[in-house]
Amino acid sequence: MIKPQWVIGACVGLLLCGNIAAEGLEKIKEKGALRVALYKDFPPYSFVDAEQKTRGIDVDIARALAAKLGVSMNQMPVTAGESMVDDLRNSVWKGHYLGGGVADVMLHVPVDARFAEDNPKVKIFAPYFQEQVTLAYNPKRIPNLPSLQVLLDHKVGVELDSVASVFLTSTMQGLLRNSVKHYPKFTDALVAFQKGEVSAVMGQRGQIESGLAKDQPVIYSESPMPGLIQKWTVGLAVKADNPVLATELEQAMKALQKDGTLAKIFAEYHVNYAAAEEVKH
Amino acid sequence: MNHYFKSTPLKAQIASILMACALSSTPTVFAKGVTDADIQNDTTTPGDVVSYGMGLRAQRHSPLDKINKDTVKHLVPAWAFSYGDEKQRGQEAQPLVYNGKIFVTASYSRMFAVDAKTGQELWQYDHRLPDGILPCCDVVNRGAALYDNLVIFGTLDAQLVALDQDTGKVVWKEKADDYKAGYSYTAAPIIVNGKVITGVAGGEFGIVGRVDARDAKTGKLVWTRPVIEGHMGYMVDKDGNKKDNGMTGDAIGKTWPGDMWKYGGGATWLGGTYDADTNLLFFGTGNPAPWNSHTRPGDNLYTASTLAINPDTGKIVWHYQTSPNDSWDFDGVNEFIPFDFEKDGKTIKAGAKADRNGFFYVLDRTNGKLLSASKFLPDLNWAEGIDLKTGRPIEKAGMRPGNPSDAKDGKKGTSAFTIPSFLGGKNWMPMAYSPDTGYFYVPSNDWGMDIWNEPVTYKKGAAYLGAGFTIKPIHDDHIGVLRAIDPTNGKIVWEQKNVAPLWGGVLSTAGGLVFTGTPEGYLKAFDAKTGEELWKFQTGSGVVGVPVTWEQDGEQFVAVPSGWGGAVPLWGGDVAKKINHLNQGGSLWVFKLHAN
Repeated sequence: MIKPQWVIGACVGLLLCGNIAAEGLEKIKEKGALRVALYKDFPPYSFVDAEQKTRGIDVDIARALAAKLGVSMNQMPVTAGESMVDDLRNSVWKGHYLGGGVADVMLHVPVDARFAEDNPKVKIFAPYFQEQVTLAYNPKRIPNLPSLQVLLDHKVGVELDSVASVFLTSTMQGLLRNSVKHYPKFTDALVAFQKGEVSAVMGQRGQIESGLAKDQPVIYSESPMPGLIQKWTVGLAVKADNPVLATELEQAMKALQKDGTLAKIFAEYHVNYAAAEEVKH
Repeated sequence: MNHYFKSTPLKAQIASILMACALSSTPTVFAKGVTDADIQNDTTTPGDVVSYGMGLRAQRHSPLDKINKDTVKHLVPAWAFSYGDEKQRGQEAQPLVYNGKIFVTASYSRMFAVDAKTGQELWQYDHRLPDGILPCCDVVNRGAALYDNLVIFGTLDAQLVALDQDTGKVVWKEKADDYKAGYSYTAAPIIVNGKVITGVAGGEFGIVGRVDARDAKTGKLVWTRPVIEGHMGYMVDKDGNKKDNGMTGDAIGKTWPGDMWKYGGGATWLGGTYDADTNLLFFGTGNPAPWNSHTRPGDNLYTASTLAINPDTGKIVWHYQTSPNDSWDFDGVNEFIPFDFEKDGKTIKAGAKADRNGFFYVLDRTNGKLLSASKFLPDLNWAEGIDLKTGRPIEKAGMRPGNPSDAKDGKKGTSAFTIPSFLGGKNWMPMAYSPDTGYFYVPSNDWGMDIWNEPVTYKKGAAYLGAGFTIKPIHDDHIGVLRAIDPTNGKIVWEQKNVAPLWGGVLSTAGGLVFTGTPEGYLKAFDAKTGEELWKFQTGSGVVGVPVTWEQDGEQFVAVPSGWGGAVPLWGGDVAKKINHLNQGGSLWVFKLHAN
């Protein structure tokens, strides 16, 4: 079925928690914490590491933003739904019908005029990173990739139900379908790439850069991918009726960018920082 | 958590100790325990309801006739029972009645045992749900199964739980699957010859549907049958050793491209039926994954199909696919109801299914051959009909959404308007069959959807090639329609419209009555022959549960859960306008004839 995806939070299970609502800036400061919606299982942006510690680029950015506001960061883990429209509704403006409340701000929200139009209940702002979906290949396996047709003789690892999967299985009348190997998680595809089980992987650049060992020989494809939006910008989202918080967060994000904090955070996770300004809209 | 009474935990503890003592000193005097024979004969023993479907064929027909066309006007509430709590979501269950007790499941994986005469609670079981469960369409539960002294049901975190009928204590608990991987369980299990038979639910791409058989007394797995071509089934022996039991389908991924059979979907989320004549289980399978059909050309067997499975061996005997290469989320889980009819002096062993895709199919249940197919949704527009030779739909052109990767410059692709919508001509709510009238009573919905490819969507922070869809009513005065269908010719004999979509099950009785509920809160009774509305009662919240009837101390009773919810209110658009005002609830209503 096509489904609205949702999660029962700890609060719901126990039916103990009060009404957690997105707060105005004053209340956030009074409370001393900024509640931030961050995707679960999304390395290197937000994930739980082997020592059960929550880590990631977005986690660190969220902490830095909260610090700029003079408060601590309180994380609200989000399980991705079939569409981010669901995620924004459940995490930012309405809250899930089962309870658990909403966050003050969500990270990794695409800054895209049409997407914003489709989601009038939130304000999307403070672009902080340019995302890119790309194909990376092992030059020892594939010396040259002038066109995607070369992949006919190779296996490409992708995450189940990701844009890379949909694209590769449907582009060129499905010519490449048999070349695609699906993995439940993108990190599994990266492991397969390192082991040589696949000659290429396709996914988000940050995930590839962060997930591959430094000495892994890899080339990023320049081949055109018709029909696919390859680059987009991500920013923050707050409830549309919370302009004061938006302004303050926007200033905080600018400051983090200016003083090099953002670039430093990305570097810690071995991701080349692509500033949002580079994107032309 | 297990509450014996609505009281303080201390009182509850004392009560449970007292009850445990009482039980240990007086071993089950009254309850002989539900036997396989009781279950097989459920249809003809009106003193109890020991199975989902009121018999394993799930015809939902009772031989009781004290409540009939003449007396139904005297039908009044005997009592009502509130589920309490803040957990007022959709109440889609069918109650069970045995040994003077009613067993009914409720939203959030709860179960209540209630005294059938007085409506007093005997015990309550609240399943402790973990964080991060991913069920699909509301936190519903559709009912339980009875066996021996057990009452068995599935939970939102994909566990099967067997409780003692007298105490509500857990006797066994088995993990049906991993809720973290997106599995869930909401259907009512069935019991066939000592085995509890279940499917799996789960919406996440990556799951594969299957049918499992377990020892009903212990919960231990006996066999498992994946429903997607290429996956191996296996049996488990007494020592817990797995043994290969043959592959599903003819060859690995024969009707799937690449490795997509590995994660093909086909969730068996609605459970199944059983026919003793042919010794076959009938299970419907869900839609293929991923959603975009352009990525998986081929029939994608055995998604959107009905499978006949031998309960002793766990092997598939036949299959019939209703929506090959499903592009609309028509799914195929709807119940397949075995029934016999006479044709040219011969008895035909048939079975019928009102599919989500809007067609009413009659198959030869011995071999899965199509006998007839008709539109139970007169407005159905995605196919001309079903080819009787091949059994395949004759699709109309332009009714599938385009390939999103063909979109130019990120523009929205062409839109198709299809009837029915993805919520189906009929969704989960079970129909009934009356051997008296020979009609099926189908709770259906007249609605369509705009569906288009959407190159600019986002998923988990990333660009995505998806689809957009909006459900729309197609008539001003109604969405829901209860339809009586003559399976011998596929004709709609009568229909009764309802403003809101119908979402509850149907009950047929020898009193010449058909009962069903409405989201507006009514339980209604209709004349089984003419469709005339003879009686209705306002229960205070939407009725999306399944009514049952039984006899106790010479009186006939009717019970139905009330509590609006399920998948419909989760969807917006024009349909929301017809249901936004409906209030939630959670109660069990029991009716009987007024004593003059």
